[in-house]
Amino acid sequence: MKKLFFAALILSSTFAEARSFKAVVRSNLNRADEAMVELKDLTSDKSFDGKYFKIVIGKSDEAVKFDAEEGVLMRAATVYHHLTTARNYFVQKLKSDYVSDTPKMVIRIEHKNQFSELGHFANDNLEPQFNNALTIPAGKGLASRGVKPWGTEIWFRPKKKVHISELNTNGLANQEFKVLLGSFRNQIHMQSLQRFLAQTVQAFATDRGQGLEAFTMESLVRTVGSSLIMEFGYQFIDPITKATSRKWYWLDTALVPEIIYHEYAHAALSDHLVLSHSTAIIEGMADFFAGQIAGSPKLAKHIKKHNTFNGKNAKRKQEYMIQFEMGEYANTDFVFSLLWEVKNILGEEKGEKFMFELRKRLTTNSTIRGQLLEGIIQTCDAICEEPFNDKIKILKALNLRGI
Amino acid sequence: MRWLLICLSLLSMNLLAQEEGTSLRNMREGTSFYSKRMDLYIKNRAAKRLTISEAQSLFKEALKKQDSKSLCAYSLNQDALQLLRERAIDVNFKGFLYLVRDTNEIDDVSLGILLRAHEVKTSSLYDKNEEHIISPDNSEANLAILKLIASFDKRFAKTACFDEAYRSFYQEVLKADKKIKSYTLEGLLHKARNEKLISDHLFVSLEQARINELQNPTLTLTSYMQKVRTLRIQYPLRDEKEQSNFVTVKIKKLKMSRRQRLFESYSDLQIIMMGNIIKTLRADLEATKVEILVYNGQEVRRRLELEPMERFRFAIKSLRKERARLSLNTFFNGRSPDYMDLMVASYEIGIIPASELEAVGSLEEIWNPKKSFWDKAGVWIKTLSSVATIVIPPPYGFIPALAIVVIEATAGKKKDPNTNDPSVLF
Repeated sequence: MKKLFFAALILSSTFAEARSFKAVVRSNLNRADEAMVELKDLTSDKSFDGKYFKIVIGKSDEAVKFDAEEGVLMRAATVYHHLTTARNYFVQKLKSDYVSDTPKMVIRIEHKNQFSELGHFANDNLEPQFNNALTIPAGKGLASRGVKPWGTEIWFRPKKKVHISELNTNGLANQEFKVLLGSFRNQIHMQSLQRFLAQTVQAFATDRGQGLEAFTMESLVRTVGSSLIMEFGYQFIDPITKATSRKWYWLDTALVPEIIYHEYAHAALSDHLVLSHSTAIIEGMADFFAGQIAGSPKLAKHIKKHNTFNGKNAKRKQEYMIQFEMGEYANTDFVFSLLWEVKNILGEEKGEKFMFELRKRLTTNSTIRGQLLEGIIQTCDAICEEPFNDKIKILKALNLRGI
Repeated sequence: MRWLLICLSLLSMNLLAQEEGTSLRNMREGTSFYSKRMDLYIKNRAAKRLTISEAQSLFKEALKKQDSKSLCAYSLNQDALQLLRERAIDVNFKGFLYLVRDTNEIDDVSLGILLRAHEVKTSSLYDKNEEHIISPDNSEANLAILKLIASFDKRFAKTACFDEAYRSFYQEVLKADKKIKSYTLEGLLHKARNEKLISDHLFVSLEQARINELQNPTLTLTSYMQKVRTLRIQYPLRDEKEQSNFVTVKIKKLKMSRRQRLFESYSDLQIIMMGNIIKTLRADLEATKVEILVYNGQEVRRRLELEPMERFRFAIKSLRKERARLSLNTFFNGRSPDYMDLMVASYEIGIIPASELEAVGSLEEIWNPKKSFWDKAGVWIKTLSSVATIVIPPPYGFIPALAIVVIEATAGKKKDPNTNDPSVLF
């Protein structure tokens, strides 16, 4: 009887429960919808504490209770649900031993503190963080200061409305439009000059010296007018754009499935891409797997709507610039769309495995033009069915991209 | 006993070699170049008169009658036609040949030669009135040519194939009159027939040859087989079952396939040299490391390792340089072979397998990008818009200006993005 009691006790503690909660999910049209989802592998019947993830608020160590306020409940459920999806993808589809052996992760929502490599959480006095998410590496802690060791964690910041003027945006799309408008303006000015010269020649040729009479007020206004209107439009495009565009930005990262996948991908790839600092390649790789888990190349497009980093678009064929290698200019869109294109060349199934294998040949300090491309070629040699053909296809595509 | 075995094996090898010599079997080509709707229609009609296996055995029988050392398309066709007649099979001869091609008993190159021979022999003569034929004068040169015509059978056609005989004959004619016109030769042929110097049959044959300009060098079965034999001796096939559709693709503005053009235009030695260029390209593309060494005397001052994309572009540029160098070679005499010819040559000598042909062939797009309809149209729209900016009055003048800007913004981007990039070597 005693044995039976202990067996029941052990079973009840390890038994993974499933409960339903309201969470944000993507609809078939890729819109954010609220729906009831079943959370699997929960080990607690009172809080978001599961076999693989524990969702906490801020610096707390206690899991979010099921009776928390609605907003927190929604964020915790969304994060838990999508993290489970992401984990299943890496364990079941990519057969990642590293992920399946990873101990339970602590996931922090509504967490404002900056990350400290020594103290885990930076001092509360330091500038609080909003509208983003990050994955932090495990730390040994600092026993002398009472800082316990911690594992790999994912932090989701609270949302905060930020005025556009506070954002350092250098929107590529705006710049491109301005360049286009500049060409149009030059063309209109040139057109006016040509017309003016043509009229001058015509007037002198027909009236033998009395040509100036041919320049009526109307023709002069017509010729100069278009240039003036164009110049006016060109000079005032910036204030007009500012006045007509959106003024406030915010991002609730714990409610965006693709961001959750992206952050989990960082953790899943950290066996080779160590979480020391952010680079174009690391972000691009995480974007790629987030796109794969989401099953949509639209990931970058949707992030673009909220993110302070403009110019995200997976379909855009950006050319390579040497500045992309530098942290400040590192363009993750470029790596993401590059990897996506390589996947399309190799095919959906093979491409996915290819990228997972590729991580073994990359490090946190890899460059796009150097180790990333070398890694792609070596990975193809190792796992492509027709290495020579596939390599040529990839190299041709990369050449077209201007790398 | 041992010697007996060796002798027997040598004898059997010799027999095999002879057997190989008379074989025109398709060893390299995939889907036939002759697969257009009309060709298929002719073939299907022929298939109603005789089966594929019948066509194959008939052709084999005709082939056996030929001299293995000097195969002649004209006599092969004649013998095949004779066999068809003997068996009372009334079939379009072209259709018969297409059926034979289906059995892989012949390849497209041989088929092309046989079809051309058939075309020559069946081309109808213009029913010209004798009055309309310009009668040649009795100059010394014309009299000499008349003698040559009269001696055609004995002097030229005795041992050689008809096309080769006509070519030799024409060489002699040119010696007599190097500026001879086609109509002069026509007049002389008529004169020879009227004066009974040649039979009506020979007159028809020579006229057919003249009309089809048989004096121009074309590929013959003998020379084709000779080329293939030389290539196979130096480069034995690694995979005898390997076939490619890449080599049977039609060449733009020409009525022949890529492989037909290769054998038509290049000698066996040229083919080997061309194939070796692709061998170098393949090795360059597969290189895992490329370095540039800067020397000062014997000392290496600097070592530059190329990045992966630089290696790729280095391989492409190196290929283009090798191509240019090839044209300076004595054997090419200034002629620069097309990239596709290099590809087919490399396949022919087994350097590039069929499965890789498409991929390597597609590299041409890098230096010779395909122009889309809009790229071509863009040039015209831009030209017209430039004129329209002056002609069209305000306020509609902005339309052509906008068109120019849009074209420049879209079409201009497709240029090589690395042209002015200082961060790359290649």
